[in-house]
Amino acid sequence: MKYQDDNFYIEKVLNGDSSAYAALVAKHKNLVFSIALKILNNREDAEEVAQDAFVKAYQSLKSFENKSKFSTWLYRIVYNAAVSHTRKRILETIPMDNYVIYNYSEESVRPGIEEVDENEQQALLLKATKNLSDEDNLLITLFYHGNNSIEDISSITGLSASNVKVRLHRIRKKLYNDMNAMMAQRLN
Amino acid sequence: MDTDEMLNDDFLASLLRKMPLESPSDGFINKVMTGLEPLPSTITHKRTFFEWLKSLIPYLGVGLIIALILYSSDIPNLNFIYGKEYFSGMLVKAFHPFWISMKVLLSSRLITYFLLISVSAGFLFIIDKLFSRRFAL
Repeated sequence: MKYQDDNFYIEKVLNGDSSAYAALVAKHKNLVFSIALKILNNREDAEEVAQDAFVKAYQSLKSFENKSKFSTWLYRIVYNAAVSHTRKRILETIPMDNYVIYNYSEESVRPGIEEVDENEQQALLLKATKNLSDEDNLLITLFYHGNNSIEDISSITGLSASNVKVRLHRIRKKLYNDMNAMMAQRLN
Repeated sequence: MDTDEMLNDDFLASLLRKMPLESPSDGFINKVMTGLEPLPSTITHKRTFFEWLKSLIPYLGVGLIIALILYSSDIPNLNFIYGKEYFSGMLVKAFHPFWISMKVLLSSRLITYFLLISVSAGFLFIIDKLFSRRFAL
């Protein structure tokens, strides 16, 4: 289903048409639920938190001042709600030294991956993402599925922009590395 | 490949974007919508002429009562009010049968108490109606 811009629905809701909020829920429900699920690791809890986040966003809609995108604002609400639910901040600034630095160049790995068909690429990627931590998967969801900028993710998670950037960079390196390793395993 | 180039790597980005997101249960939207309470109106309501007129009624009522009291009072300093003397005289004449019947009624203590209570209650009720939001034409 093709959705209008968020502001279109927001304006309708603020003008008294609360049913327009259903379209906003439908538009963002998967991403909001995914964010909650990646933090909570429990579908029931994630659904409850996502539901509460939508209700809270609705009640605070008047105070939404368009300083950021509605989606960024909404994701921050669900992120905070989920973190509060777990009673801990899952995304702590991780020193760069704690990451494994992979000793290969993406340029050398990518052609091999590009050669296999798309379904296989998807299967490899799915396996590779399962090797990532929940926090890294959350960053991927926010960046690639939510189309959030580095600054948006920084605003949602409270991480510094440079930290988000470096983490995303290393996540991609790890994904390439794991996909490459899986392909090598298959060939052997 | 530096960090910026890496983040703009279309190949991995397109693959990642094709991966399906997790979705909540089927009734999720309904659950959210039933959990919503009506949002307080955000639009400034423009009052119609009728609404403005209706809002004047309590004040007009109080004004009318004050005017009636002044017109029917015996306060000598108020004799300058045009037609007051005539009004008082007419009022006394008009209400003469009423006062006669009241005099008969008030001879009974039971009826006096009943009238005292009911008139006081009626007065309070009218005041409440006039100045509360429940007032409607």
